[in-house]
Formats: sequence, structure tokens, C-alpha cells
Amino acid sequence: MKKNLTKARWSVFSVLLLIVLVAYSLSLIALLGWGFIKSLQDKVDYVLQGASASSFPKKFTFANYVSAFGELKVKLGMEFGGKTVYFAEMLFNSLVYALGCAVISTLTPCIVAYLTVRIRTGFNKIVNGIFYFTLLVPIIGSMPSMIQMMTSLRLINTWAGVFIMRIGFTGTYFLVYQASFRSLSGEYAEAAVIDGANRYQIMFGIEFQLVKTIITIAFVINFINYWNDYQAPMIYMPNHPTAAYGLWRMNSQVSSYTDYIIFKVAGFMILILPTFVLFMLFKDKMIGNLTIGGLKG
Amino acid sequence: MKKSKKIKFEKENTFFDRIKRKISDSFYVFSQRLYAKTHKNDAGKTRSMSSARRMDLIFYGTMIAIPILQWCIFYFAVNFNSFFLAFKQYSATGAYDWVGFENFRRVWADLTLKNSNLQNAFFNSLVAYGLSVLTQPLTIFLPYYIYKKMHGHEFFKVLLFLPSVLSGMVMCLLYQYVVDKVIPHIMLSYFNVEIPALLSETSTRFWAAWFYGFWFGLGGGVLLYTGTMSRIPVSVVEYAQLDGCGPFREFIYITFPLIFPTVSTFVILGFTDIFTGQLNLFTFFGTNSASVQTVGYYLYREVIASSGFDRYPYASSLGLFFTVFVAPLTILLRHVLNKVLPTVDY
Repeated sequence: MKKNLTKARWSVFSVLLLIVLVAYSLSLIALLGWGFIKSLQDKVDYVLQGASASSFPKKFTFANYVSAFGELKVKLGMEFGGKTVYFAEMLFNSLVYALGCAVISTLTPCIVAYLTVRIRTGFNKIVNGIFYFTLLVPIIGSMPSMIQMMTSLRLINTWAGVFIMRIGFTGTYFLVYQASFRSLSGEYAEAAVIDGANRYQIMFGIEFQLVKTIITIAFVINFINYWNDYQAPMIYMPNHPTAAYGLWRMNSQVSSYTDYIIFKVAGFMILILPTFVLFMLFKDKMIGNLTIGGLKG
Repeated sequence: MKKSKKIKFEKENTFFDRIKRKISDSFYVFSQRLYAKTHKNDAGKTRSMSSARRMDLIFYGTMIAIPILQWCIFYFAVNFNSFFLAFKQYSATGAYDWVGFENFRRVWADLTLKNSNLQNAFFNSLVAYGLSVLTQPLTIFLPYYIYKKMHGHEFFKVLLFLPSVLSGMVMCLLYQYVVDKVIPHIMLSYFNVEIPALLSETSTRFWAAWFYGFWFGLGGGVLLYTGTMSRIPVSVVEYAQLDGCGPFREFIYITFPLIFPTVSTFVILGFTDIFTGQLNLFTFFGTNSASVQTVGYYLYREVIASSGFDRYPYASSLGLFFTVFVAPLTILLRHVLNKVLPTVDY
């Protein structure tokens, strides 16, 4: 009954929307499809066809993926010793960066949201005020000051620096976590108190377990965002280039080897593979019901 | 037994008994007051926090201290420093000298100079925001299609969400290859029509960059909008359908008013982004797009292209200038949207 009611019958309006969606889908598939096909083009075939981005491959091979792993590289500046970083190392850097930042930026708003919901103090008003102020008051152009701050704290070009930067609770997940904890019954925590559990055990062992689906989704989305991020590593950690930053930098450089589009595109495909796999694994949970209300201070 | 009690009660109701009771009550009240005065500390103890409450507060303090400290340093202190940096200038000695409003005068001069990069960037930012407002309905219609479970909704839902998952940098660079090289080649080879490389050509760059953000950002709100729409009570939809509402009328009269808090959230957050949006120009061109810029890109370029700290004060003053411009308008917009339009609870 419910399904029938939410289903709409066909009309001019819905046909127009279908046309837009089909056009969108075709363009997206064409874009990614071109990248994938180009990444499979044989090197000799690519050269024979004029080393052009627009040529359609006549001979396909996966060898470009192996070559990309071995040959795509970034040379660091002399201030970092002029070291050459290969694609495999960049992927490792991406993994460390994305995992570390995702764990921190998932748990911090969760902990702060839990505290503001479960423990009533006057300070909660300040915490909520900070959240809404940060979210709603757009401060533009603080990046120079941030670089100065990171430099003066000697956190620039360090892993600790980028991780400390992520201990922020003012993202939109704060609202989602608050709503989740508010909807939870306090009975489990009360039972745990009677059983002698301390506050940390209640928070991590009981209440966080009850919202672990939301925490998992937030973690996966954060991991994907940090895996794809190339600007923060470029500014705050150029001595540890991630795969995203390395590929972007390689694309803007002209060299005898990386100028081959086929290798760059193979690198692109390797970069998007983990996020695509994660998305396919978690898509039902990620594209679940996520709701947000109006911004009320 | 009952009888004797009754007699006793009657006896106590005599005049002297009442006097006696009043005197004893007064003594009781006096003793209570005296106890309260002489045991002030004990009374305080009962009002002070219990050990459980104290443990809660210790737990609260230890867990929240680091996030708050981080905010104080990386938000408050950074922006505080940014504010003062806007009034300074990098000197040849490597120190920052106080120059008052000099940086702001330079920003104003750049902004008002005809066809300057900053003026073009300012107008480009306004045009980009205006276009995003005009195209906003489409970003709500598409989630509506999915919410109504129309043909292929599961497939479209995945594809709409996919660009949010894949690397934006990879998507941008693939788009750049296709738009600059593949499409002109196809047009020339198969249709004998010569078209420029739309992103590389400066006359079409703004539109090509904007179109990328718009088209592949169509699914940006799909999760939140479909989630909010799915909360609309079925009974409301049922009434509308019994009254003969088609999909479009149902959207206009039922769905849109009920999801308005989410729409207003998007509008407010979109407004805060007006002078920070870059149209992906940095991803496409690095710092090499001087001819086509937005304010966000202009600012970013100032910092990234700066060899040392010399351009930072100018960049800070530029940021502060546009913050002063946008922040009050954002708060006003939120106030208007919250007050003028009805709050919806369901």
C-alpha cells in the first residue's frame, strides 16, 4: 500500500526528469568509460596514432597499470632532499593519511555530540554555539594564517600536523550524531551503571555500539574524502605526497614519460579503484536514509 | 478501642489542647530554623554535586578538552591572527610591520579597477552563485524522481551519488581531456565542425568549468533530499493523490513545503560558499588561469603562488573584506528564512 502511494504515475514532468537523468548517466559513463578504455591502450598503438588523447585504442593491454606502479613518480624539492617518490609509496602515504584523518574526524564529532547529549552542563550551550558559529559564519581567507600557525607550531610537513588539524567537531556529522544519541534510550547505560561499568565503557562499549552503523558510514565517507584530497597534502605535507597529489602534480608537469596520457589515466583508475570498491560494498548503507533538519541555533 | 480513641481526639480539641499544640508547633519550627542555621555546611553538602555527578564532569572535561583546545588554536587563534595579518605588511627584514588599512585600500583599488583580475573574479563568483540558485530546482527535482520510485530510480540513485565518491581531481582531469581534446576531435572528424578546446580557450573557460560543477554536482543533495522526502507521512501523499494531484502538483503543494527546512539549509550553506568556490579552476589549471578566476580561486592562487609569506597579508585582507561582506548577509538570510517561512514538523 505504502509503495503504491509513493510511486508516481507517468507525466510530462516525470518524462522530462527521466530525459535529464539519462543524459546525466550517459555523460558520466562516457567520461569514466573513456578513461578506462584509454588506460588500456597499448603504448605502441598510442604512439602510432599520434600520441593523442582522442585516438581510440586498436590494441588493448593491462601493462599500463604495471608501468604506472613502477614508473609514475614525483621528485621532491631540494628543501626535502630532492628525493624521488614512486607511485607505490604515494599510495601508501594516501592510505596512512586517509585512515588517520578518517578515524580522527569520525570519532571527534561523535564523542563531542555524545557528551553534549548525555551529560547536561552549562558548557553544552557554548559547545553548540561554537558549532553553529563555525558552520554559519563564513570566514574567508584564513589559509595564510593557518599556514603560519602550522609553521610556527612546527607542524607543517609532519603527519602529526595533518592529524591534529582533523580533531575538529564542527562538521555536519555533529548534527547527525546528536540526533542519533537523542533517539537512543538511556536504559542500556543505566543497566551498565548498575553492573559497575565506568563512563568510558558505557560510551565506547555500549552507546557507540548502538550507533555503529552511522559511525561506519561516516568513517567510510571520510576515508573516501581524504583519499581523494590532494590540496591539504599539497599545502601542509608536500614532503609526503599522496597518490592524489602526486597524480595532480604529474598531470601539470611535462616529462618524457608521464606525458603519456595512457599512464596518467591508468594512475587515475588505480586511484579511484579503492573508493569505487568501498562504495560498492557500502552503497546500501551510504545511500540509506540520511536526514537533516533546518539550522536552528 | 475505637471509642476510646474518639474520646481522646475530642479531648484534644479543647481550647487548651489547641494552645498546647500551637506552642509545640512553634517550638518545632524554631528548632528547624535553628538546625538549618547551625548546620549550614551540612545543608550545603546536600546541595553540592554528588560523586557520580563529579565523575560525570571529570569525564566530560577530559573528553572535550582536546577538541575545544583544537578549535581554540586552529579556528579561533588562526582567524584572530588572520584578522591582524590583514593590517600588516611583510618587510624586507622578514618581519611584519603594521600598515593600518593599506592592504584594504589595495583590495578596494583592485576591485574597482576596470577589468582587473579581482573585479572579473568578483563578477564571476556572483554569476556562478546566481546560476547555482537558478539551477537549484533541478537538484531537488532529481531526488524527487528517486523518492517517487520512478523507472530506474535505484540505478540513477547510484550514478547520482557516484561523483561524490570518486576523486574530484580525477573526474576534473578526465573532463578536461574529453572537453579539450576528445570532443573537438570527434566534432572535426565526424561532423566537420571545428570547435575550440572549451576549457583551454579563455572565452569559454568559465562556462565549461561551471558546467562541470553543475552537471556532475547534480547528485550533491540526493541523499539528504531523498532521506527527508521519505519521512513525509504517507497519509499526506494519499490525500493529495485522492484529490487528483499529479507528480508535479504533488511536488509543488506537498513535497516542497514539507522539505523546505532542508532546502533552506542548502541555500544558506550555498551562500556561505559564494566567495570560496573555485569552479575547480585550481584542479584544472593550477595557478595558470589568470585570465578566468573566481574570488575563491584568486585568493587561493595568491597564497599558493606566493613564494614566501609576502602575499599573505594581502590575501588575509582580501579574505576579511569578503567575510565582512558575506557574514552579515548569511545571518540575515538565515534569520529571514527561519522567521518568514513556516517551520514544518511531521
